[in-house]
Amino acid sequence: MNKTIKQNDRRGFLSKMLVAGASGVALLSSSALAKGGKSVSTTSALTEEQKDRLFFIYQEEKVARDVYIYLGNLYEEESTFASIQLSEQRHIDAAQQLCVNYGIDISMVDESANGNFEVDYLQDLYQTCIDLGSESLLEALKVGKLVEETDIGTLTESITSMDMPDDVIRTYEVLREGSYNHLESYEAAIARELR
Amino acid sequence: MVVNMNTDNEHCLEPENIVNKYYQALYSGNLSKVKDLMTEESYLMTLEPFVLKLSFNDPLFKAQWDKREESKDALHEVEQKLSLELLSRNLSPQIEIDQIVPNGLERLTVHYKKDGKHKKLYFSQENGKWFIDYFAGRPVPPVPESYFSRIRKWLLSILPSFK
Repeated sequence: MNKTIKQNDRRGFLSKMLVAGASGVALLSSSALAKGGKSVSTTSALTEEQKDRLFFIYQEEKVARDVYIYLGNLYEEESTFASIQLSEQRHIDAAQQLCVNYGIDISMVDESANGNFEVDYLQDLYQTCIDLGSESLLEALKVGKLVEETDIGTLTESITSMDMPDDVIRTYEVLREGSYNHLESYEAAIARELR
Repeated sequence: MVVNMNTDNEHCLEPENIVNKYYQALYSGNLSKVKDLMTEESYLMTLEPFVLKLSFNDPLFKAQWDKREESKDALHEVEQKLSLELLSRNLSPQIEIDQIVPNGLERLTVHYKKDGKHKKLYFSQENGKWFIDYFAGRPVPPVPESYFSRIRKWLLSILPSFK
């Protein structure tokens, strides 16, 4: 990930957080804070394409969690997977809540079915990740970095080019910021492993 | 939705036939045919797991992939390498169609077995042609009865002589 882009994204994120009232941006809330600090609901009608994207991101967040559960069990000595998988569950919850807020039927997704995905692409992605990560701890950490980069890419596209409502954008910005933090954790763990 | 605008006659095929064509094309390394059977976004997503595998220890390949949106040449080079890799796998999976489930008017899901393993692919329709579309899995509610057909029904119910 290009460092400059990353820094710019983060600046954008931080400025929006300030406008929104910083700590007022809650992952599990569909309401947003207007400039005056008054809470308003921004839930509006979504296009079919936007709904498809919300549904897809919900499932994509599950890939990250399930890959980290698998790799965390494989490399119990490495705590990065365990700590990030907890955070990924919060990402899933936030993405799920957006689906619920917009009346998207998520009944076909079984969150408890680790390693099982409805979308063929996500199933292939999961399988590729655990295959590569099973080779060694270093490879597993590289997989973690790659998963986060993929998530950041999808979220960035959804934020910038899909004309999403404010509440969706804010939630995705929070998720993306989380993914940047995860990415840094994996980069630090990789550097440690290479020493 | 970004849709592949290629007007190949393959799109006259029914989705269950497209599933077979998809795997034949994929494992013969014929990525232009694969591209023709899918929405553009889904096509690039299909390549992604293969790219991840090849690029894992090859930063140059990864760099080429990352340039795919700005440079058609970069994407073309990635496709050529992937094509050879897919061909070298020498796979010809057995596909058995189980069920086709409509999802609204312009989407459906094909349930099938690939070498005995249950799988499914989503399809969306554009201009009467079906495309594999990973984003088309969201359950779509039945099409609501239109306002005018409700009015017509109401009129028919109160004025039987209009029938």
